[in-house]
Amino acid sequence: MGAATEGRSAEEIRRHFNGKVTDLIAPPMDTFGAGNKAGGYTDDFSSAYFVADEIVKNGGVVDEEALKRALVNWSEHAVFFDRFAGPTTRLAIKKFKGEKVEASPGTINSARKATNGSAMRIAPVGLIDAGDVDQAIEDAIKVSELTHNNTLALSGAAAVAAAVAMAVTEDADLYDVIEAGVYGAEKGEAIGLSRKSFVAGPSVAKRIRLASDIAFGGGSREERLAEISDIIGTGLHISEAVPAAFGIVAICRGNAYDAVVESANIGYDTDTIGTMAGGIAGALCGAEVFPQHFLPVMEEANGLGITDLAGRIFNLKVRKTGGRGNE
Amino acid sequence: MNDKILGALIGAAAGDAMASATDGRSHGEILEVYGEEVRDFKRPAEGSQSSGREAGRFTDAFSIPLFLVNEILDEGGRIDTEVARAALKKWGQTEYFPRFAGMTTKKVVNALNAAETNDLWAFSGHLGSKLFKGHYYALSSNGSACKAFVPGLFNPGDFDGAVHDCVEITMSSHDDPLSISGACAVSAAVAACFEKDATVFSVVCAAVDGSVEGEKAGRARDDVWDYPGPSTTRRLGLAQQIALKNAGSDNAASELRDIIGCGPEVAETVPLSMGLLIARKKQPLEAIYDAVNIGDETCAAAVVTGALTGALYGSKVFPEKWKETVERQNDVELTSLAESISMYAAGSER
Repeated sequence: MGAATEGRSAEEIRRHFNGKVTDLIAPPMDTFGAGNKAGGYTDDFSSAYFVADEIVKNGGVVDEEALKRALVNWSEHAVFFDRFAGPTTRLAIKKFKGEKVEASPGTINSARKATNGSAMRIAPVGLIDAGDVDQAIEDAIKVSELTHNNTLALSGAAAVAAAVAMAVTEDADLYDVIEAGVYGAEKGEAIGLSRKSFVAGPSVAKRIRLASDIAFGGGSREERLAEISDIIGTGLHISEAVPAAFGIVAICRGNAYDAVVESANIGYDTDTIGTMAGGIAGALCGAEVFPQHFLPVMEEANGLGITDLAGRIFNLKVRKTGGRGNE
Repeated sequence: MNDKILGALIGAAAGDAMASATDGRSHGEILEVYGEEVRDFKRPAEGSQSSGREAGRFTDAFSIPLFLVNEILDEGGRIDTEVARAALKKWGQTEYFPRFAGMTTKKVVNALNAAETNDLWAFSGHLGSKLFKGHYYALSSNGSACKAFVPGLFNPGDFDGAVHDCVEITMSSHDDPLSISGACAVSAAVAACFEKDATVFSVVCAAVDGSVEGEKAGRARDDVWDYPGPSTTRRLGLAQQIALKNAGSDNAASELRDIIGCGPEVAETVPLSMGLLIARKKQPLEAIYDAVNIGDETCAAAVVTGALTGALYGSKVFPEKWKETVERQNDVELTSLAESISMYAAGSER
């Protein structure tokens, strides 16, 4: 849904689409997503899918070789990679493939690599590690350090994976999910700092707390959503996109369809925020909240089987626990 | 001559020069590389954007406003978008440009240089949208704020004049309402420093009002880009909350850094600088040292914080060494520059 709105401000989205976007629609010609069919993915969920698929094929074990295979395999799907891949990811994959990487002129500024690419593809890791928040954090770091090896990017990815691992458990409620997110962000940051993967930038954990203050603060739903955009920010920076996703999930009371719609309409990096907010809230509330046509439209537009992947993740969990997985 | 004008120039110049050693690094990395906080002019360490340069040299953060001041003076005090573009074009021909040009300014200078051969659509890039010009990371960036103390100095005590002239200048490079909003916050705040009985509070109020009026003026134009991004106005509110909660303590800087941030977004640099000014009300120089050591885009934060500190407290607030060092190392004469600005600024003084 965010593929159609990415790059526009909230006001500009309402002007261009005559109100909020609430369905899967084909992106207009002046966005990154131009050329996609309605329901087509950008880099966000497409890379998440390939990572999840490869981890499942690897028996649920997250290791470097499997992850590199996943990212290289994804990068060979031009329809996703060539058109959408972000700068930090692109550079890392070139290196995996053994391609020569031109040394960039001037100083490498690691602060500009604290981008949300680490967190956009991490939600399925929380499903694979369902119920085990610490394992989810550890695996999120393994996935992220391949492309985004800096304290803040690791923190953001760990936050989302931890939140999903908590959300998918039977008894979890929204408070548990936000707490898990803050816990993941803090632990991910601590792991990054212990390795001296220094990077300058605002704190993911403190901004998730601020987003939660906004979500549970005063004002109408629309006013609080505007505050997420104006105060937290909804751009590429990991410390904007991830806290914004948590704020939207909380404002929408954990309803995944609402969270996806509000993410698509909040402006700036809407597709990335939507994939994270949808991943977290979807794990909490289940698939029933989405309009029935969403799944077939997306499976048809992208040629990637979501139901099949969900089944394989579920079976993996059943094998791992020797009994029933989480419903 | 108004001593506050000289103060603003010294504060901005020295802030930039001191921060040239720390720019781009995180706070932890600064401590690791220098063994302590940077509280003096230091040779930038290897791997810095400024490495190889002497201690006390400017980066883009003060050199761009310096070229702007000179261009305005050459044009007899005229302030408009054309003058600001001419200044940028001249700056683009110096040694500063290839090393320091930021994500937004670089494109603008290249476009100005190519103006004879390129049409607007080529400048606009892929699909005719400025979104795709390589500054998607921070669409409304702090290059707009670094030079915004200049219109404030030319409009002492004149809020409307400071906002008007700042919109004109900002349009030369950062043609979107959110950049204009952040820049006008700085311009209006600097102008407010010249009011009789100015206080930190009255200056921050002017910043908030400037951000609102600047955004309004920007949105009323039909030659701007409507970018998404966080709001300087809203984050100025947040910065005041954080600063008041932590006033006088060392936590103020770390909380401002962790929650507001000090990256390339104008909506980080400007609220962060105002927050430092509030938190360090009783020790004004500490606000500048905080900006230098806070990490990320320290030069921009130190220019804004330094200009405000100097404009509010006057040139005597700074150690004498600051002026001597930056004048010697960069071959500039700040006193005569301040005198020239005074001549054009006097007319608008209340």
